[in-house]
Amino acid sequence: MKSVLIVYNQANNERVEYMLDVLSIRGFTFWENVQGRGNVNGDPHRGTHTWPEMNNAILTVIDDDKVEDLLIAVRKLDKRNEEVGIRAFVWNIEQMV
Amino acid sequence: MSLIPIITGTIGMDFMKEQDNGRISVTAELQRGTRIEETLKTARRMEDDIYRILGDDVIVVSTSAGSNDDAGMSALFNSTTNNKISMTIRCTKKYDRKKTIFEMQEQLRQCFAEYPELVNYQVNQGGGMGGGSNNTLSVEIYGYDFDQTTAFTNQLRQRVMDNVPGARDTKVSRDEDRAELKITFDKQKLALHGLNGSTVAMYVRNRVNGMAAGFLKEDGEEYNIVVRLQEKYRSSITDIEQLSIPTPTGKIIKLEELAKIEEYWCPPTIERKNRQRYLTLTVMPYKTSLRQLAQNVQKEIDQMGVPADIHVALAGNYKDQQDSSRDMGLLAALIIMLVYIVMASQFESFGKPAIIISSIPFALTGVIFILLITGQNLDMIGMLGLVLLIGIVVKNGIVLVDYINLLRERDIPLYEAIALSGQSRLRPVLMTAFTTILGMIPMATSRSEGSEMWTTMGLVVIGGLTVSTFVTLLVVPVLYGAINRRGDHERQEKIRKKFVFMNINLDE
Repeated sequence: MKSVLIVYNQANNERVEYMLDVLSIRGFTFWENVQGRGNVNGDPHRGTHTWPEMNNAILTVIDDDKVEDLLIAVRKLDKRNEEVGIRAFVWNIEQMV
Repeated sequence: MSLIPIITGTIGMDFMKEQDNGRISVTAELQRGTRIEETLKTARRMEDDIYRILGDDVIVVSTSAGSNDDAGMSALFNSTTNNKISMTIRCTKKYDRKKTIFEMQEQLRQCFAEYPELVNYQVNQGGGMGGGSNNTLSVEIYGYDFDQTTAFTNQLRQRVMDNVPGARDTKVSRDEDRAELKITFDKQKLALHGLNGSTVAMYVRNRVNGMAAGFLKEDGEEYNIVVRLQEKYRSSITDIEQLSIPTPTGKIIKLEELAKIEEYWCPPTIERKNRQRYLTLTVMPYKTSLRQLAQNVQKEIDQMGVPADIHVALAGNYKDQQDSSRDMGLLAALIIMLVYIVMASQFESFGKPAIIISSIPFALTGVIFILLITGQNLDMIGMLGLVLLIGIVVKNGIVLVDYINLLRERDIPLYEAIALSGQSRLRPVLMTAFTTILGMIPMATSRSEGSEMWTTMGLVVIGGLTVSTFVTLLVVPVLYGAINRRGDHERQEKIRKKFVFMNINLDE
């Protein structure tokens, strides 16, 4: 099992949800209105007057074989418009209850 | 520098614009004591001249002259005596004729000036409730002595008529003394015949003015039956002296036995203000502004020298105009302050609002420019437009400065930020300015009746906004650049000092 954290511009919300539906990923944890900025480039998403945009975050724990499909889908969405912004990070799951 | 036309008076100041409502009212006065027949003759001649001069522009002329006794209801409202004529001329709508009502009035004045029998005449705006003009200058002359104040006022009036350009329709509020007959009773003789003053006074009144003796009913209407002496028995002093007065004992006695009858001159009205006797000289401006007129009249007063017993004050719409321009000035100052406070709180800065406020004087330049071009005077409605402008003009600056601020916070270098925001804010600034300007055009170009009132406001907003918009796009970025050039380093230094923990050397 792997966990995937997807952090993305709120503008992509519907697309990310559709993506999960298509890949038959049912379970996730969702945070609304999270702030952040990238290491390399792009505008910060801070919810201020200067940088008004905000992020959402989704944490989903899935089987290993689904990870590759999910990352490809995320990369496609990022390609669509790089300025809007979406990132995905993958961890190992040690144990589960 | 743009204030020069205002100071030199090229742009005049009025209270309210005169409106072309298509009505002219004419009042003319003949020599006192003129018979009604003569007055009517003159009135007819004036009517003919009015039709001749104004031609097809006249719809109706209504004339009244003379009085129907003093007792009629109309006598309460119109001071028509035998030697006064008052006329109302209704003209065609202003867009149906070539001449303005003011030019027509001036033509009539020139015509009436050639009537030798007219002692005094006024041609001015008529119609409307309360009627009359809302752009007059009145000079109030205070003083106890009737003869002295009247003489002074007439002298002043003559000087104003002769020397002040654009002074028209001068009028003195105090009428000339009126001839009356005064009956002074001899109390002893009255008592001797068993009469008293009020009874005899009533007898005399009934004989001369008549007495309602009953009603005649005809076709549902009631008419008073008035009993009075025939005119030949009551038209001279001798006739009055020969009036027969019945005594309680049944004898008949002549009035001259009881009383002395004299000719007497009395002022028709005594006007007072603040318990002081006063009279007013009203002057109307023609092709000059109220302020200009007031200054010239004041000059005449100064040259004449005011006697110690007389106090002269300029009043009327001129005073109103001065009061309200002072109020408007205060209002403008207050508004600028409020606008500054709002901006200072939003920008969290004192300097940036000041940059924006600095675009207001340029709006004034535009206002003066457009008034000069169109040859309009600045009146109260125009001043209202000025106050309005303050709010609209800062908007351009706010749009620009706010965006520069945003870009600066995104760490874009100063000049680049200014250039970028100039580029991106040009459209919204021009859009808002042009929508306002275009919205004002109908108001400024309207030619319908009563539009005189609003054109100034439209012009003021258009002129002020046009100039200030283009100036804002130049001056505001330049000032922003100049003021914030050094601010950058200082800000970084301040932040560095605030988070001093980063400078702690851990090796020590």
